[in-house]
Amino acid sequence: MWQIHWIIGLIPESVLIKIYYFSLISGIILYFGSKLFKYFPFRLVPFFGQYPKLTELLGVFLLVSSIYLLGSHSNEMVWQEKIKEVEDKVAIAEQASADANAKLEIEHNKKVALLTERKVLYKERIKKEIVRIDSECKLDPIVPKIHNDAAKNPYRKKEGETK
Amino acid sequence: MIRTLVSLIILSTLMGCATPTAVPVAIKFPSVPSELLKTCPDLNLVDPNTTKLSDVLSVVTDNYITYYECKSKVDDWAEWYKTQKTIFDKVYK
Repeated sequence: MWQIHWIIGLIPESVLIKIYYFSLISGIILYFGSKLFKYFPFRLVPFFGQYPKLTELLGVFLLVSSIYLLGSHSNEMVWQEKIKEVEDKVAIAEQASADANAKLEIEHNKKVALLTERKVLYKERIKKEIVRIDSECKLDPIVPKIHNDAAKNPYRKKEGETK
Repeated sequence: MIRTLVSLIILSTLMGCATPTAVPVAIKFPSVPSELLKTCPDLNLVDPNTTKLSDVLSVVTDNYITYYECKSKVDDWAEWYKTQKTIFDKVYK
């Protein structure tokens, strides 16, 4: 079915509409005309007058196919409109997403800068008070051990461990 | 004949209106600020042979800073998710 739609898609829309309506009108004329082709003087009309059943079938075929194609075309137009609407929304959303990311990055960098500033500040304070801090306290070797055990990442795999 | 014609017209009209249920437009997965993709570092360890409190204090303050850096990343991830979800939901509302 998509092949038919693909071929139809190659024809300009304005031409297509004309073809559909032409088929529809021809179908109506042929169908109702086929009823008259049985009678004089209409049966004298070349071909159609000789084959009224065939004319009727042709009329029905044109009528049905043109209604189908008109319905399909108008439905396609509705969907194209919806797609355009969503595409516009997506473009706006992508821009909003990029803007939000840029804002978040600026805020994050501000926080990192503040933390770096504080790190330097505390290093300086320790350096300034180092004599006072170390004058009255000598640590037991167990202190760094307990600290380090607690600071180690419990989820980190040990060397050589696969799981 | 009339009955067949009417049936065919109705059937063909209905077939012409057969449509997909979703609009075939995909939204790109939103990008993330590169800073948020870096993993948090491990905490610093104290020199096991030290007997100075200042050494321990220095490492502990460094670790506090590391914690807050990591916290800011987690907070920003939550903020990123909330914002992007709101933006995404608006598209398909």
